[in-house]
This record gives sequence, structure tokens and C-alpha cells, in this order.
Amino acid sequence: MKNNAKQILFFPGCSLITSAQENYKSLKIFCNHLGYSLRELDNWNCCGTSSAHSLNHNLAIDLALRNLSLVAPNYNELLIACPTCFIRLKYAHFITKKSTTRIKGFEKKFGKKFPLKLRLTPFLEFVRKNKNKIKPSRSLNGLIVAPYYGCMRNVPPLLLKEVNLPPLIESVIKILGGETIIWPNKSTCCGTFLSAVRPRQITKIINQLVQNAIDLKAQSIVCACSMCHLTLEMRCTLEEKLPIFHFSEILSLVLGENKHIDWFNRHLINPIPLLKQKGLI
Amino acid sequence: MNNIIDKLNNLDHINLSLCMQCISCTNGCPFVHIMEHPPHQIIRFLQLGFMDKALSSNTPWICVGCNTCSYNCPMAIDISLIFDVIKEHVIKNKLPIPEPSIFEFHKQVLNSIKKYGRVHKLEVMFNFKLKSKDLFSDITIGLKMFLKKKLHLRPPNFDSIKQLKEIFESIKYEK
Repeated sequence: MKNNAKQILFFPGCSLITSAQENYKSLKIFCNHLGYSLRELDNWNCCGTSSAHSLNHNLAIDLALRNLSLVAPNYNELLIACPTCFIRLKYAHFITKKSTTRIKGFEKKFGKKFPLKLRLTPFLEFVRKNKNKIKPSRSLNGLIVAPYYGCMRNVPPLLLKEVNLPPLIESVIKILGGETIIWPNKSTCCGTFLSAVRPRQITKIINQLVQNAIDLKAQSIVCACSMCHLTLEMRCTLEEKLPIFHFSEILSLVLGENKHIDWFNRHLINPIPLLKQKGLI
Repeated sequence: MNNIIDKLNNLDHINLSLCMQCISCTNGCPFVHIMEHPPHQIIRFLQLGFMDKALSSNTPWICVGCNTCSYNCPMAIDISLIFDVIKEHVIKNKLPIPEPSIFEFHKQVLNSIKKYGRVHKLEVMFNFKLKSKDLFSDITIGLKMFLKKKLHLRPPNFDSIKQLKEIFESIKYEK
């Protein structure tokens, strides 16, 4: 890491500290390479995920707002890795910002000023802004990738003018020497909690999705969401499976990072043979 | 029963009469095949005042809030928010829950947040499987995840349980 690294405040979310630690590790390394050091938001809580807004609208808003109340006034940006966390926090920030009653409620509840001007940056947006700083030290050697966004680009109507998540995986993979396929499932939702509650139905959907990628000659799937990553790995029961990567893993790998074995050993579908075959590790 | 319409009208960006039944939402929905009614039909029920049909359908419960429907909707109707309002109404009025297992799963997640501030995935899955009397269906993959350290025995570190409990109490969230 460079000495004059710019500190950036970071919200990891529950997946990145548990099931997707490889996502966290590789993302940190990627940011370090670009000259940023991540500072985790102290004492953050779960954004509420699908469960809070399903059962109680106000609870979902308050859980997200508590996190915003933790941002010290000297920070004007919060980087958020998980697309679900991003949408929950952004939604709460947006509807509070628009209402003086809500702002007053926030200040009363948390005893802090509402961070009106705080910018919430999703990881893809962060990559887009820093695209020119990516200086790859190895090429993807023609690795064929199915880019997978899941539901992250379907922002709710209230945020349509606020959020524009670029379809960035394609262009970045190309710069890095890989190829991407055009396939029908790049924005098919992975099913999130239905993977736990209706595993059989989700298995069907995931198998079809992976099969489509295989038929179109993809060698791997790259996701920008750790929830999607887990569902794709967990629920694929095909005999021929595709390795599933976090976008951050690919980014850190081509920047010459060698601690990657820590990440790839954590995968449920072993990606190492493919990476060896492509001369990437 | 009509106050669900009042609730929807109070959300200033929701206008049910904008829906012209073009079926774009339903065409985009990845889970429509496990729903009792396609999403556009729930909106139609609400338009026509068939409240009991809208409130007893499993559709809003199957919906995961991926927003594909509202993203497809030419009138930008926030369909997943409407479904959230329906679910909340069903819970608050103690009406029969069309998908008890999905309700149970959400409760387990919220209990975990209340208890630890963050989601303790292993405990959520264990409690959920226990309640559904189905401990073994995912045992192989669960074990693999445990060995790969994707599931942890220890609860997440978190220091502000008191403040979080106050949040749950202030919005009167009941189990």
C-alpha cells in the first residue's frame, strides 16, 4: 500500500464478514492497489436485508439510519460493498433527506445531525470512477466470463434518478484481457432468502442459469454481489459446474496479488483448476 | 379492511390507478411460477377492492423485492413496496399468513439482528430448520460451508445491543 493512501469509510455488511470473507479480503487489496485504505465503519449493524422491509417498513428504515448516524461529520462518502446494503441505506437516506419531519426524527432518535450531504457509493460506481487507475500486471488470457448482476441494477422507482449502476463488468473484463458472453440471465434475481426457504425451486432456476452460461461457452461467472455468489455456488447441482468469482477477486488477481489462495480455498466450487489452466495462478 | 388503501395512498409516490395491466411486471418476475397470482393481478385486486384476495395470496410473500417488476413497469409503480405494505397489514391485523415458512425465516433474521446487531447465519439457519422440522435437507452443503468457514459458531462482534433494542422497541416490533 502506498504511504499517502487516501482513507475511505467502508460498510461491509453481514455477508462480507462471514460467508464472503474472500470478497472482503480481495476488495481491500484492490482498494489498496488503487491508493485507498478502507476504514470499516465502527459498530455498524445489519442493514435489515430483505427481512426487515418485508415485515416492518419503519424498522427497515431505522436499521439503515442507525448506520448513517455512525458516520463522523468529517467523512463525506461511504463505500458500500453489498448491493442490498447499498439500496437499503440509500433508500433510507433518500426518504429522510426529502422530509424535514424525518430529519427531525433522526436527530431526536440518534442525537446527531443528519448527514445530508453524505454520498453513498456502491462498489461498482467506485470501480467506474477509478477505472483508469487499474494497471493490470497480468492478463486474463482470454478467460470467458458470464457477467452476473442479479437484481442489483433494478433500483426501486424512488431511486431511479439517484442511482445508475453501470454494467461495468463487461468493459473491465475486456480491458483485463478476458471475454464476456451476452446471455439472458445477467439480471435474473438469484432468489436471496428463497434459497433457504424454497431450495428446490431455486435449484431449478440456478441450474438453468448456469446451463445457459455453459451453452454460450462461458468458463466462469463473475458476480458483483456476495449473496448471488453464495446462492450460485450453493444451489447449482449440475454435474458440470462453473467456477463463480467475486468481481473483486478478478480485479485483485490481475493486479498481481498473490495471496489469492486464501480466497479461492473458501469457494464451494473449486476455481483453481480453471485458473491454473488459464495460467492465472 | 379498507385501510390498506389508505395506507397505500399515504405513500405519496404510490398511485394504484396508474396501473393499466400491461403485464410487464409479471413478464419480468423470476418467481411468478411459484406465486398463486401473478403480480399484476394483485394490483388489479387492489384497484377493484378485492382486499381479501390480495391479503390472502402468497404472492407478496414469495416476492423477494428484487424490483425487476417495478424496473420493467412503464408507470414506475413500486410493486415490491406495495407487497411490503400488504405483508405488514396481514401481520398487524393478525390475518392468516399465506406462507408461514417465509414469515418464520424473516422473523429468525430479525431476531438475530435484535440479539447480535448483525445476522448470525448459522443460528438463523439452525433455528429456521428446527422450526420447519427439516434439519437434514441441507446438511451436506451446510457442513461444507461450515468447513470452509462460511458459517461460524461464534456470534458476530457488536457493541451497541442496547441502542439496537431501543430501535426495535421504539417501532413496536413484536415477535
